[in-house]
Amino acid sequence: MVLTRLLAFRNFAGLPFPVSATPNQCAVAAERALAWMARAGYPSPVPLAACPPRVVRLLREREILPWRAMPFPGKKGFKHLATAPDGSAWAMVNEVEHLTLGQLHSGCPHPGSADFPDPGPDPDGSGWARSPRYGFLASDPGRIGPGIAIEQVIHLPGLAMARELPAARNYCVAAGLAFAPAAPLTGSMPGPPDVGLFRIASRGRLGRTPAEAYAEHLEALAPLLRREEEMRRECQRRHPERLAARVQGALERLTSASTLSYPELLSQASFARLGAALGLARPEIGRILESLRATAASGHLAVSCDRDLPQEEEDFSRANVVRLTLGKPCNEAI
Amino acid sequence: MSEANFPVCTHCGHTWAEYRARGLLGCPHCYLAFGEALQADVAWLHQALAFAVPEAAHATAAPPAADPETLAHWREKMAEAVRAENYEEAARIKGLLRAAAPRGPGLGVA
Repeated sequence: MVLTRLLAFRNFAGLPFPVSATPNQCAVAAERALAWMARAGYPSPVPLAACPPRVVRLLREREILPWRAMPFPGKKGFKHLATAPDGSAWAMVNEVEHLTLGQLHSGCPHPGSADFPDPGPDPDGSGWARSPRYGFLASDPGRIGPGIAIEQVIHLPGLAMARELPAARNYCVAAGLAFAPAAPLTGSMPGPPDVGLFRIASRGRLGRTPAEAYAEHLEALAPLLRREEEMRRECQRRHPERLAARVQGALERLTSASTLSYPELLSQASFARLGAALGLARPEIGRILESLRATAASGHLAVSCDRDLPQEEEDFSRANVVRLTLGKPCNEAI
Repeated sequence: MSEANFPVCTHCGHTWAEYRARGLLGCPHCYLAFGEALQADVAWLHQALAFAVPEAAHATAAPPAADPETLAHWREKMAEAVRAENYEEAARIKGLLRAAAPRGPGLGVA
């Protein structure tokens, strides 16, 4: 389990959802949402329309903004975002729902994390849009009920090598989980199976509390994780030397490359992560590579240079960042 | 039943076709305006087979079966979603197809 992203969705009663709201209604919703965020202790929000494209890319790479934005023509000016300094919590206004709250956790947090603190809607308003039958109401009917969504990024190199990803996807669909590559990749190589990172998502389940929905999500995911573990061990048992050589080769490439495309970083990092999990490389490598998945991505590099980088320069900068971050003593296989 | 026969929300003017196009409802009243037509989606999205909503336990009306033209349209959309590796959308449409196909007993929710 690489990371967990928990989302809560809230809409104000008496107002249409952003998809059909007029600009005036969007402004009212934004005003109420910003007041709620101030009372809940969120940092000062910024209008998303004011963010340069490279900052938006960075926010996507940090799992704060969704990879596929839902455009509402003429209403972008009413979208706001407030994030904690470390990016572990955020609140978005008028992004599909009036208010979207997010939390990002490394690994798998306690089910109680799915209960978002709520100081309640503003005293002058009419409360959240709720129904006795459906719970919290949302523009996306998959978000009603407890009003949450759960997403987990997991690393499945074992299933990828065993060519069991189609079966994993079928299992997820049957279990009510969405199964997709962790992030869209550009270019033709390598594909999601080489990267091995997948996003497993489930909506809040009607009739459940947030904690119950999260616990059910974990329960549904458990067979997939068990199978992944079996396949990793099987691969190590059958091909120990080839696997060790591949892990060593990935670490050498990451620590010596003078230029590194993002897909190649993810592909090499997949073997290095696998090696760390199987005891073939130092265990802290996995955590460092997960950090590099964001900090060596296009948006982060562009923001750190304060300009958009041409592809060659970006690959060169990425290789530098990776080499420096993976400096000794982490870059040697055991 | 064709999609043109589905109602329009009188509060926000959102139509069933608009909901089908983006998967988003226009306002809280759309849940009432689209009524039974929306139940297939809600039932699938929330794993209705695995539990029963207390308020709905007494209701047995099943979602309406879609006409062949609509089913063909959904199959085409599902194939497109698979080609685009948008598996979440593909699974959602698959659920719609399953729920809208001719069936025996209802799904257990209104």
